[in-house]
Amino acid sequence: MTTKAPHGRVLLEVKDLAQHFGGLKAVDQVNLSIHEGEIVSVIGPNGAGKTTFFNVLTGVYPGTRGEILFNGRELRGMASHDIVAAGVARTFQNIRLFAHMTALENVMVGRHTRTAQFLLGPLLRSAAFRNEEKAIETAAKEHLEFVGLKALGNELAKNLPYGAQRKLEIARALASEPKLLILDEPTAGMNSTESQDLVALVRKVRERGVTVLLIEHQMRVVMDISDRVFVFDYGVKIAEGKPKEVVANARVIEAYLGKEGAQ
Amino acid sequence: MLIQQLVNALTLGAIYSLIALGYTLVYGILAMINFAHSEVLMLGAFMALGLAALLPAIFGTGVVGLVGMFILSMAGAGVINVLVERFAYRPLRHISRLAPLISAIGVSIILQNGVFLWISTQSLRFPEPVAIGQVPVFGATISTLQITILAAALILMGLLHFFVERTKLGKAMRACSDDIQTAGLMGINPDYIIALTFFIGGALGGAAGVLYGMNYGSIKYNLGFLPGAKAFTAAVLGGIGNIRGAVLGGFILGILEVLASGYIPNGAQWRDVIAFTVLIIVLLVRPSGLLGEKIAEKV
Repeated sequence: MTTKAPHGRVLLEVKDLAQHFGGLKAVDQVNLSIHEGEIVSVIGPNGAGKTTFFNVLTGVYPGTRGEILFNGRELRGMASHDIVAAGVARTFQNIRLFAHMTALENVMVGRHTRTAQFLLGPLLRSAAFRNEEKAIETAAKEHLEFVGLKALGNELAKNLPYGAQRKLEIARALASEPKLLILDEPTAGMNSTESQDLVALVRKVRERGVTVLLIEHQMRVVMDISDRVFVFDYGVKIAEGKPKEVVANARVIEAYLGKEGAQ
Repeated sequence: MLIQQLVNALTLGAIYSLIALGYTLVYGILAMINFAHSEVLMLGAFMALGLAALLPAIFGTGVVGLVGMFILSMAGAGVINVLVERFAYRPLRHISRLAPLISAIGVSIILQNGVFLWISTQSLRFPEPVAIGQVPVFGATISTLQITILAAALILMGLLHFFVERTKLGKAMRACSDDIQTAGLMGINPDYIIALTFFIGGALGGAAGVLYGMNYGSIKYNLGFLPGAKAFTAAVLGGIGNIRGAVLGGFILGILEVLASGYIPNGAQWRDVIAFTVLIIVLLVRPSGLLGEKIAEKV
C-alpha cells in the first residue's frame, strides 16, 4: 500500500496537550498535527493514554494544558456538541449506540447539528418542518447505505450483529458531516475478514474527503491503512512516522516488548 | 352502572397518566424524581383560574376561551418547570445524586406555601368552563365534562407520541434518555434537551391540573400532593422512564380506584388502600414495573 508523506493543509494541530488526573499524567506534552485527507493511526500499549487523548479532543475531558487547533480554531474548552458542530465526530471503543432506537433513528440523531430546529413546526405541521424531517431521513438512509446497512434500518440498534453495530457507529458519526472522523478501535473484536471489510470502509470514508484518526491494535490493519502512525506510551508521544519507519523504531519496540526485547 | 364506572375510571386515569408522564420524562433523562412536579400541576390549575377571570373579555366564553385558557396554563406551567430546573436542579446536577432531590422537595414546599400565603388558604371554586350536559350512552349517563377531559388528555398523549417518535427534537430526547453523554458527543446540546423535557413535562402537568380543577370543581393550594403521589406511583408501576408505561400505569390506577369504590362495601374509604396494595404486589413481582426494563446502570 502507498504511504504518502503529509500533504494538504494542516487540519488538526495539537500543541503541548496534557490531561492530568491528580498525580497521574494520562496525557502529557503531546504535539502533533494531522493533514487534510490523511489516515493516521495512534498505537501504543494498553494504558498509554490513547483513548484519554481522544476524550480530550472531543470535549469529554477538559484537558489540563495545551491547545487543540482545528482549522485554526481552538477546540479545548468547547462543549462536546459544539465540537461536533465544528466538524469532529467519533466512535467508541465500547460501542455506545442508542440501544432503544432503530439503526435509522441512530443515524438521524447524528444529523442533529446539521439541521434546523422546529419547536412549533410539529404542531403547526408546517411545510418547512415536514421537508426538514424528510431531508433528515433521506440523508440518514444514504449514510446507512454507504456503510452497507441499508437493509437493517428498521432494526433496533441493540439487536444488530456486532460488526453491524460498529459500522452503524461510523454511519452515525458521518451523518454529522465531519471533516475529521475519530475511530476508537474500530476493528476491536473482529475476525480478519470483518477487519478487512472495515479497512475498505475507512478508505471509502477518506475518498469522501474526510480525514481519519484512529486507535488501532491490530498491527496488520495499522500497516495496511495508515499514511502515518503516532506511537503513545505512558501518556507521551514517543514516535511518529510512516508505518514501516515506526515499527523499526527502537523506542517503539521497547515500549511494546520491554528493554530486553529491544536488544 | 359498569359503563358509568368505566368512564369515571378512564377520566381519573387520564389525569393520572398526564401527571405520570411528567415524572417519567424527567426521570428518563436525568434519573431524578422531580418532587416539585405536583406543585407545577397545582400552579397550572391556579393559572387557569386566573385566566378564566381574564380571558372571557378577550376570547369570549365558549370553546375558544376554554382552549385559550388551557394552552396558556400549559405554557405557564411548562415555563415554571423550566425555571425550577434552571435554578434549583441544574447547579446541583454534578454535585451528588441526593442534592437535586432535596432541592426538589424544597421547591415543592416553597411553591405550595407561596400559594397558601399569597393567594388563598381556602378552596376556590373552579369555574365551569362550558355548560355541562349529560349524554346517554348505552343506558348510562355521561357528562360532557368527562368527555371533554378524556378527549383533551388523549389528544395531548397523541401529540406527545408524535413529537417523541417523529420529530428531530423528540429523537434527540430519546437519545438523551438512552445515553446523555453520547448524545452530547453526537452534537446534541444536553442542557437544551433537558430544558425542553422539563417544559413538556410541566405543560402536561399543568394540563392535568386544569382538568383536575374542572373535574372536582374546586382547587386549593395543596391539591397537587395526592394526585402527584399517585401519579408518581403510576409511573413506577408502568416502569419509570417509559412513556407508554406512564400512560398504562395511570389508567390502571384510575380503574383500580374506581372499581374499589364502586364494588367493595365501604370501598370509597378503602380505595387508596386497595389501589396501593395492588401496586405493592405488582412491584414485588416486577420490580422494574410493567413495561420497564431492568434499570440501566448509569455510568
